Amino acid sequence: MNTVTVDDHAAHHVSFVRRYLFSLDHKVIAKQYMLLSAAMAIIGGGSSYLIRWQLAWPETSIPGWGPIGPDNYNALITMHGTIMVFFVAMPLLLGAFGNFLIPLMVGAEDMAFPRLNATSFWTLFVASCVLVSSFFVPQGPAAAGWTSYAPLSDKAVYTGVTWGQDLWILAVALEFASFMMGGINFLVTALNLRTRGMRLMRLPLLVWMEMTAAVVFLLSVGPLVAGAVMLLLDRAAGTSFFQPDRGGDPLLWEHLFWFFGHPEVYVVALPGFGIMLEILPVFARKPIFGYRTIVYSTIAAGLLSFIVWAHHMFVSGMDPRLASPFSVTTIMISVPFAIIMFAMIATLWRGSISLASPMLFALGGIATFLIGGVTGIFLGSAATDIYLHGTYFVVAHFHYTLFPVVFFGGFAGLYFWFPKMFGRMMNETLGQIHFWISFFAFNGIFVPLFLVGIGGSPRRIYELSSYDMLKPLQPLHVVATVAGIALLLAQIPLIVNAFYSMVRGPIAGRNPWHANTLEWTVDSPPSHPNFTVPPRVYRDPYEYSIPGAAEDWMAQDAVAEADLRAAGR
Amino acid sequence: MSAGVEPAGVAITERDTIGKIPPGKIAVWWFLASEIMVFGTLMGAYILFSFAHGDFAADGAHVKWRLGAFNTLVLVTSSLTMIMALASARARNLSRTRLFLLATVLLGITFLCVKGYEYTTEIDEGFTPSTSIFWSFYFGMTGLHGLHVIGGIVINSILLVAALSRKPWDILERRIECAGLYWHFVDVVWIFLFPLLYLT
Amino acid sequence: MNEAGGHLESARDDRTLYVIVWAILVLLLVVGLTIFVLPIPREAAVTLIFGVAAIKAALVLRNYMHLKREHLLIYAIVLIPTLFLLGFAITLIPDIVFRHAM
Repeated sequence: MNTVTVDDHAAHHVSFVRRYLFSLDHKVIAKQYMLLSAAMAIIGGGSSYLIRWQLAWPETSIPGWGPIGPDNYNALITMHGTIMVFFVAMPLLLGAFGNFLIPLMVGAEDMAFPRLNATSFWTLFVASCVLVSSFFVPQGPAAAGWTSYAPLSDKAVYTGVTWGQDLWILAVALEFASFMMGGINFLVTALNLRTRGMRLMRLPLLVWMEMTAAVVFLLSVGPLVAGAVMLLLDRAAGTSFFQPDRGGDPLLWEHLFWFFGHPEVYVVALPGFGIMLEILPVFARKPIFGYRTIVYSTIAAGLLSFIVWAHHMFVSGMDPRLASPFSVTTIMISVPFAIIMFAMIATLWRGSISLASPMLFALGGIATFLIGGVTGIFLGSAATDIYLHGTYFVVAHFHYTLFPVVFFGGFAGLYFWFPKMFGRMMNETLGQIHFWISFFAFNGIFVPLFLVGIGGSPRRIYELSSYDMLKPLQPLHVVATVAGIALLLAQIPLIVNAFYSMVRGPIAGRNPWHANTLEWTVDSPPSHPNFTVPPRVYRDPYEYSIPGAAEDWMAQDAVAEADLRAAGR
Repeated sequence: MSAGVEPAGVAITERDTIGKIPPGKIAVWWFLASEIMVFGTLMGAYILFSFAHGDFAADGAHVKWRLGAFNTLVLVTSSLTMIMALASARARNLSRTRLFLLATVLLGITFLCVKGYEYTTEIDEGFTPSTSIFWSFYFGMTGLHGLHVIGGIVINSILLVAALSRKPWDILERRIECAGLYWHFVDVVWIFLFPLLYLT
Repeated sequence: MNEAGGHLESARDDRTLYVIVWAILVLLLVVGLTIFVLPIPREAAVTLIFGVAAIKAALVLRNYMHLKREHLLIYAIVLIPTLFLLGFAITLIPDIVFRHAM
């Protein structure tokens, strides 16, 4: 059997290109994913600025940009959604944190397939380039919504967009390929490369979440790949899959999209929860409450996610007999998530809570996700959804679920693992400022939008002043936009903090947070190889404040005196 | 040695694995699971549409089932040569391994040639992807399958080159097994595609 | 790795099995084509032909892809997507088959 000895790594010298550009090291690749998601977030966030300005002060010239018309607006909302879900959320939560942490947390040297790992990143990079290039082609980028419903997306004449829509399909297809590769890598690594003693039920919950997300993604993406092929053929080869006048069925697209689309949001959400679940015990100095329950709930949520998709289609014209079953399954899926939320709160109960930046973001994520989850119940029940579908209520709901896991969860992770990734601590004051302004700004955007939605305002409409009944709601849009600008500005402390601390922050030791999981047993940043000796795991990941122990934490690979004696050594 | 072939660090037997399945093999199976969803969706959509539209049989009468049957024979035989390549690799017989890999590649190319001939004659006869929903499915599904065949031919050719340049046996054997799984899957898809499009 | 002698023996058995399976696959292809050309009712023909295809696929999966010797996990990896697909297709019947037919 081929074994790679540790010395080989130390011996050979790699060029700049191999070391930083086409690196096979999972830690470098993770940072590449992070950088890519940050770059795409600027575009995604920028587009949200334009959207919000247009809604608050319609038909004005947007500072720093100019006026936008209805077609531009549709393109903006399409690209905002597509970029945020596929090119910010997934690269950050799966690509960056998954890649960096899974090998370290399971005690492995690297991912199971390092070259596949690099390929998956560069595929995503190409996909990002394809998507960004669509801004510059004639007739502009895709404008049929991130959901790209047929027949709007099916014939160029309906949106006026030609190249842009095709490039969108290509970019999304490449993104799928990238995460298929990444997902397989995660699964095989977590299942096959666990170090001695790292039983499945000793895995940190983040690894469980990433694994479940990988399985859910792999099994749900197929139908949309098929759909994307069909859509592209409709546009480019004259087929008629989604054209009703030629024997096709536009509703098929919706089914295909949402069969993937719904599990996809859990693919994004679960790793975000995983990050919060790693942080809570550390900053409450308490074991996780209900580890096994959380694992089983995660698996249940993953399975259920495949049978709820048509709740996005209650008013689509689909067979009404499907409404009740899908309402039932959708209400059911709130149960495992509620269980996870309760477990998180129980973890905090009577803990020694320290409100450092990572913890603030984790708590902020939990609080805001609760609102998102609860408002989902109104949308999951077909009766209320008939009124709320396509309104700003939906927009507020999904921002109250996605934002908590991606923004609050993602930044919680950044503040938490920054010392491990870069060897230096971030500035705590700037972190607090970043959190508090962001938290209030975020709520300031989307609470008004719930009210706008309940007031009956449809979404995806560039300018609402022609609807008399919506005029009283306009001040809410202004509040939301002001809050939105505040949110964007609140990211400045983060950017300053991150880049400054990377080079001038105080040196972090191996384990500045006194946490138990294996990544905290190696250097900050981890040297090459990760582990000079493969670690041996003896305990569960969340043994904090164990009575009788010398410290209030116990690393997973720590052997207690009592255990040694019991083993007769 | 290269960093990507083995899990870097410690050999598999020292780690907690599930069923001791080699990582490459389980990776291919996960990929195939995803592919099952892709092709299954297309086939399922086709079946549902065929129930919805009564005229699929009439359209379908114009496909060349004899050529399709021949192609089925070609692909099934290529599955045999592929598994024989693996068996030869297991028996450490280099010349037979190369021979069977070459045969698989050639049979794959034959399949594509026949498909290409079918496409050109059908288009000449006036049946294009835009003719009807049946033809949309026909060209779409066989086209996607054909792309997978091309991918398989590329992979098998790379393996052939590896076999020609005397890679270590255990690496070669594992790669042939993984490539074989993919190739057999492409065959299984055709096993369903052929009756679906040609015989109903 | 098997011992050298037993290894070669079982390898030869394997190769024989592979050829036999191939022969059965070709035979089943002929059977399927025969059913196709026979003047029997369409529904019956279609059912039989798909049955034949299923058997062929099972043969390839079991013998060429070694599913019969593989771990439960791999069975699950094949079975679960297939079940999802069936559920998906069945759920779509009301919409695609009944309501949107031309």
